[in-house]
Amino acid sequence: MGVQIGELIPRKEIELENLYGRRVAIDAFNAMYQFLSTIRQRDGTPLMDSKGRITSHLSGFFYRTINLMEAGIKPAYVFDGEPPEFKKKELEKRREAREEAEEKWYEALEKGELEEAKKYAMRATKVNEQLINDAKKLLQLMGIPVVQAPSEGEAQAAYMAAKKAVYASASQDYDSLLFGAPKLVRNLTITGRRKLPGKNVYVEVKPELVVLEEVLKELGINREKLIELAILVGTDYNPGGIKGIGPKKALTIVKRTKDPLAKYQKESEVDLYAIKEFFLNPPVTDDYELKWREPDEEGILKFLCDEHDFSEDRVKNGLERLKKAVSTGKQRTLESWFGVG
Amino acid sequence: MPFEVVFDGAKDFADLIATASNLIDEAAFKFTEEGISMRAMDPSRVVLIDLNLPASIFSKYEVEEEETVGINMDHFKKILKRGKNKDTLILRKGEENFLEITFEGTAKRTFKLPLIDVEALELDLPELPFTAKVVLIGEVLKEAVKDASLVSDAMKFIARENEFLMRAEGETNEVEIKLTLEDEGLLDLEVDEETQSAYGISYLADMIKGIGKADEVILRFGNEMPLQMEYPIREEGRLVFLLAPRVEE
Repeated sequence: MGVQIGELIPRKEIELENLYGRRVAIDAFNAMYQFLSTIRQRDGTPLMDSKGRITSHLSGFFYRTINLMEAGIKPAYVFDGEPPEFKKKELEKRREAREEAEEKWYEALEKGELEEAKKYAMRATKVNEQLINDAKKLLQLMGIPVVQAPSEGEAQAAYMAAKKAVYASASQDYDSLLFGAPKLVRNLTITGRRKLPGKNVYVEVKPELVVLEEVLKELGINREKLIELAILVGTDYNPGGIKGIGPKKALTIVKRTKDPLAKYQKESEVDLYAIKEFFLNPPVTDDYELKWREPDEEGILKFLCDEHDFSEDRVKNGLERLKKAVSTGKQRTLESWFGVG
Repeated sequence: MPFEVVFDGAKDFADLIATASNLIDEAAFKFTEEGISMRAMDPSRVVLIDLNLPASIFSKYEVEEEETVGINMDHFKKILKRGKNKDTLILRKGEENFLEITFEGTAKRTFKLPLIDVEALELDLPELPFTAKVVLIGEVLKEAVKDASLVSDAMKFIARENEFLMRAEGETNEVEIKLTLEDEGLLDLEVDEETQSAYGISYLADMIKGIGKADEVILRFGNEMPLQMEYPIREEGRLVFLLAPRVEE
């Protein structure tokens, strides 16, 4: 998912402390996929309540958000709206891949191959309306801002970062750079000790900061060229891109060619100019409010423990941590008074 | 470039560094002909520390050329803790990339601390439009912070024409410390307008560690603005903190 241009992108590892006091617009769908695919039982089954409803994402949104708040970070989650017309083909393809993975998951489960089953279970992850609504409800109860994007969440997060409503957008994908986010933070919702998929190995995952200006400087191109590069390599809107063109070749092409999209349009079924225009001017909104409020404790206990069978002790413990974090979240940094870092 | 400075009373110097090390992990100390200075910000960018130790407070001060040394504060603090009250402290650097820390007392004990690369904070202190200036005795502030830490994690400073209040409210308990110019603890009060601002107690607790009970502490603040806290080190030296406030959203 997202543009596959990671190998070209310079980024630096940072500490969570560097994000203290900073607002970050997190791509909620991206976070949701990560929670759904990584927070699972040993056989790959997602966490579920007694009625068989998936709760992996709720666990992720609850505990990981508290971790961020404790680090003094102010997260706002940006949810996708209506996908652009030309993304529907990709979404269809992903649905098919998921169904195939789901079949293989059941097969592996029947054969008792746990690791194999888990692998397919992760690929079978799907996000439906119910999961989205549950996540929004939980975040609202927690007092965390929920932003509804008119179209792509990445585009809205990038817009908010560009107008400095937030410090950075946060996602695993690089798309928000194409949408013009001056800063992108990766690994934010998976920071900490994580198990490598399919292996019994743990790694320490740290957040990474990608600065658009540095990316463009390093590559020696402007944002428009970066978009063209991404389109040649392939985006969510033209998966696979142009046959035989990888990131390095694409970089050479966009540097040498004045209008590379014109040259390669005939090799694509999709209108490449429409994609470029979408990255340059996506639908975004100013209709959001960035306020971090006191959590609704009773509401959360009712929702997580009564409705979804979470352990009351653990949730109460989380709530204590969250309340404390909200209180210390009132701490300002000196940056408001003079420009630093 | 080599330098050598001598400070009588190793423990006082240790306390000073211990205070700073609670807030910052590493710092760049600048040695010039005039004295030693250090300016650093904590990693979360909430507190700024500005330390100035003029050559005059050292019993020997030999710095021929300006030199900046990067120091791991935790290591520095732990070494300095080994100094006794009556020990004389010698900080020396030769051509090598080490700081030699010597305690001279009943014996001569020398530590070698490797220097690290630290980017000096090239930043001018902003001129902030403070509306209140309070001068009080160190002991009063130290006790007030201890009082407040019993009930809350933040404390509010309130300066009015005739009084200075420090107040903390917890879920159940409250505490108020009140000072007027009649009180021995308050030495001066200048208020342009009634000023209120709240600060995190854990930061305040770290900042006041180096204050002597009898020291004069100068507080400057504004409504929902940073607090500037300043106190003397051996009269002519100065330790200044700038602490960002806590603000209700």
